[in-house]
Amino acid sequence: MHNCKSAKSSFIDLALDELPAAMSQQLLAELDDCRECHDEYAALRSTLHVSTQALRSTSPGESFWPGYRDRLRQALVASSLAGSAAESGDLVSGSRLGESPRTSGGPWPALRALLTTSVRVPLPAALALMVLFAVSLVVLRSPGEQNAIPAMPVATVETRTVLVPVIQEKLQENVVTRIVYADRQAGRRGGSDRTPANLGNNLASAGSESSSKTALNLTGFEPTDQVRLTVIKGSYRNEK
Amino acid sequence: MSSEDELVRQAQTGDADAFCLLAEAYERRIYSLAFHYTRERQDAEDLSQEVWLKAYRALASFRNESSFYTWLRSITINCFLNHRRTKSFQWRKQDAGSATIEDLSIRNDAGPNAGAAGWETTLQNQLIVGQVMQVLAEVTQQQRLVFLLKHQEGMTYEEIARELGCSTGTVKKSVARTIARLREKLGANEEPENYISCAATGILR
Repeated sequence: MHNCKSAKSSFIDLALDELPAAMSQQLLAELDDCRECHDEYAALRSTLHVSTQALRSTSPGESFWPGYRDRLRQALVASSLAGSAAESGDLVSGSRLGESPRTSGGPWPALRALLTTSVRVPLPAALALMVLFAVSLVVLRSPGEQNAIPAMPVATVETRTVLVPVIQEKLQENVVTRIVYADRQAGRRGGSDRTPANLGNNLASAGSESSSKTALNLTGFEPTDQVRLTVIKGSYRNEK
Repeated sequence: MSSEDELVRQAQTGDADAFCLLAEAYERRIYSLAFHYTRERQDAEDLSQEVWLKAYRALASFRNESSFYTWLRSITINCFLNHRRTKSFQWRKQDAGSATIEDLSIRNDAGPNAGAAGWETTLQNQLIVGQVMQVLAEVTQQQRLVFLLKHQEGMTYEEIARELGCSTGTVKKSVARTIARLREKLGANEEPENYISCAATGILR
């Protein structure tokens, strides 16, 4: 039984040869009996045919290809130069490429290729080389360390002038003042001359006279060793 | 042993001339695929030459397990996918169609002395090609590549899915969408009578 919807869903696969042969034959037979499906499939085939012709027509003309091949050959030469050393040795040095890049490019391309050439090495081989290199380093270094004489330090005398700050003790001077008042009454009794010249005498006489009365002495006063005792003699006139 | 197998064997020993002969045998298919994928002449040449260089370097790994072209096409698809990932070339949607029509002038077989009928044929062909290329420009790169591999290269769904790393259903949907777009674009021009009228309308405007 023909089903248009089911048939149309398979048209693309039918047009692109993606259906099994038996199914394709059956579907094509159904198309003969259904005008709508026949037209639909014909339109699809026409679209694909036009697309195919359009894509083919975009191919460049014959004049394009010689230049394309020349550029490809140059790219192959450049690739050989930049490739591995083995490949470049096989392909560049021979006359297979038609021209020698060493003659066309001078010594610089060859030198650059030599400097930029890398060699592919299998990983186990690379690891083995690294281990061998490390072991050789250790082996070469060990005897040197064993035979090496430890360097003795040489004692030298060196004279230097070093400024060292000296802390000096500062003497502290304490002044102890004791005011001694002379007896006025004794001064009046002693005379009326109160001149400064006679004041000392008066005071001395007064002191001697009244030493027994006023007990003018320094008994009980014991200055320390650091204290310098200074006795200032004066009278009431020096007071203000 | 066929001549192609002999050329492959010689190329594997480092014979670049043998490799160039192999390249000449398939250069048009590879370039055409690259051009329809990139839609630019210069990008197509760069991409196709990259394909040849990779094939040249990897030729030692070719084991004759498949045909040389199948092996080469796998390299081509990988190059296309790598270009798409790195975006080394930028697709210019603004110029979709116009550049193709100009480029088609080199294929104008009718020539200036071909008369009115020849010019009309050339013009309608150019317009149809422009429409096809515009549809390919409007679909995604994945859809364009799938369509080209299916329609131009004749690969099966399974082969395309295996190469692109996707499912068969994805490939089928992608092809169906591109064909649907083509039918929308070319639907009015499928009859030969309509080509001329459409072309004349487009030119006079």
